[in-house]
Amino acid sequence: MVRMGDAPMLQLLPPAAAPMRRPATAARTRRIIAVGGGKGGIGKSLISANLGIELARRGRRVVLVDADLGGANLHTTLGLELPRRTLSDFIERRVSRMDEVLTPTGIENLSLVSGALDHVDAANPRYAQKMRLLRHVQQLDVDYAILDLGAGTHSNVLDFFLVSDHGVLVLVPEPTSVENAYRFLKAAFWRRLRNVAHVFGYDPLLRSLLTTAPFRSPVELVTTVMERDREAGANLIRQLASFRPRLIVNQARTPQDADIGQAIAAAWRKYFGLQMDYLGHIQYDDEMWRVQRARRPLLIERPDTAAARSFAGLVDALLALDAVQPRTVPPAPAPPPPGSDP
Amino acid sequence: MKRLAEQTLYEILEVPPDAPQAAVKAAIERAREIFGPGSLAMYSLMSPDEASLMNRRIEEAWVTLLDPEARARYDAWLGGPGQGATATQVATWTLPPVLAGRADAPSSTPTPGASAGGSPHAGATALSGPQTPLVAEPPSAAPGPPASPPDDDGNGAEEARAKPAEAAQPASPARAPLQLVTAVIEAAGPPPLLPRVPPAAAAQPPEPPPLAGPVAMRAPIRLDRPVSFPQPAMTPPPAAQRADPAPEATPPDFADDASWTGEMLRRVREARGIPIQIIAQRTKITRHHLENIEKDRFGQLPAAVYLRGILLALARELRLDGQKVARSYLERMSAATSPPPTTPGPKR
Repeated sequence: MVRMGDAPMLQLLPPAAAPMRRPATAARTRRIIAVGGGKGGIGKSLISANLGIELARRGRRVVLVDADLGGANLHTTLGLELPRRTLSDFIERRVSRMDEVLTPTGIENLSLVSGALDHVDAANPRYAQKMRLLRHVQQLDVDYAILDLGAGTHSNVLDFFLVSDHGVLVLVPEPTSVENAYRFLKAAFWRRLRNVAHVFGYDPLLRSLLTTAPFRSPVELVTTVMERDREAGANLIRQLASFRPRLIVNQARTPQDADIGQAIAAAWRKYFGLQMDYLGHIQYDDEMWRVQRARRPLLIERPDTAAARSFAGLVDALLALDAVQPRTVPPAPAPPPPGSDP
Repeated sequence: MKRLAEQTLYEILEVPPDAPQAAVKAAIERAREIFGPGSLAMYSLMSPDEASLMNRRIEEAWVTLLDPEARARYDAWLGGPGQGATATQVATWTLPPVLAGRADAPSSTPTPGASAGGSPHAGATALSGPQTPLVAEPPSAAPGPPASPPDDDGNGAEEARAKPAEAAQPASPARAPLQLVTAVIEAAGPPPLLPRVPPAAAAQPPEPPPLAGPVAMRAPIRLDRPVSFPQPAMTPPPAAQRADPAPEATPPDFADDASWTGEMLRRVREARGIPIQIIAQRTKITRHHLENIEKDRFGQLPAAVYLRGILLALARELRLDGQKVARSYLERMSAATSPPPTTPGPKR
């Protein structure tokens, strides 16, 4: 199974153990999409919500999970009051199953797990809590679970990003956002690398390399590992290849802004030696801001706008990725026929 | 996964090795945009050293791949027979370089102990042949990795390249072709991406001159840049070879804003006592082109985009400011070939 962070570290998806953890008939989330970006205010929540709506509109069953544990507001973007049950009920085990904190959004096929709000500590779940949360997300009986991540590079955020099938990186074409996006990706990359090293026992090797001198780029580091220990290097490359972010450029005002996505993917390839998929851009649109003020989702309120139409393209791109990369784990998703949307 | 310094020029540009000229050119232009200074996509991603290395490789591609003959030579070097390159050619495209190398290399080399031998220069062994990329002169101008003593006699790139090879142990010959570029880059100035990997000892190029930074790198595209650019950064002065690192000092008889003609270039060349075949040999530009340049036979010269690279290389050999030379020569050419009143050919 190829996932962004088929992270041995999280031990969520050990190929052998996973099926045993639950009955074979158990329902399963087919894909997890994590929406992150490092910086706040770049539209992660709005994109999560509207991606969810677009997927739901195409008949996929979707659950939005507000994983911004310290600053949940996904419900607001959907125009919902704060639901009675939230993630904190689940984290603190007041309910045993995630199903019980699902809130209908009033949109067909789309439900919400609202973020944790009422407990300060809920923003920083312990490792075991985090694992439980992810495990339950994976068991939801939906086609897509979309995790709306918080800003920053906290390990919680990174881990959610790393275990997803689609780690979606959002940025706006501004230096601050680009900078934070790279910081986020670098942090995620290193976390992934360290976990791989840990699992495969490359810790000493890695440490010896890192203490000799700071490395300038991931490519350089991996190549050096390769020179020291070919097996380890080759394995590392294999393991890291699944670290493949999807990029969305938000608030594109000019054609150049839209092109920045390609440029970033190219720069990423050179620096990390890894692939990145550019899903597309969302046009800057005042309407987006207006509907947000009205606490209405864009795709419901103004599906005719340019920004709203952008989401169709983004979802096409996501579905195309799923089609070429079928999960080996049951249930294999039927590749969406090209014109399958309503 | 390959280091920037080890990627082939095609890999740098992300084009297939058989990409048509136009595609290569487009890729170069795009790469300049993406990796050039001020690019939003590069903001905070790479260290200045890496960014500058990347830009040097792009310029290397510009000079090498856009000149059909230089490109043919480069292709031959990448994939051609002989020079021990055969073993790795295929691997060049399919395998990570080290993997390819390791397959054949004695397993005793990899340890840090192999530092001296694992040097990129070790790679030079295999390419001491005549097939070398156009931009390859730098080895003769190596800023001085101990392993490659400066080639003072100006005897051409091949010999210079062979030297480091001899100095270094024959570490992993199979890796050689992949590593040449590293050696070249390294020799060309600023430190390579990973100077210490093989051996900090062997590769200790001086800090890159500030000029070689991204800003300077960009200069080649910007025809409208102030001509006063001190020195074309893409052609860092081959320090070892030049006793006097002040290139401006040498062509005394021409003003700064001189309009460069073939005749003037010839005079500079003769004043320096460099036979045309030596230039041809060192730059890998055919003698034919060089003569046509000196004779101002515009009709027989390659298209401006290629000619520009040639002029830059020629100017470097003559220790002239390549930017100025190329610009003014191309202006004259376009003024002479098309008769528009808009182009103020300085000579008209």
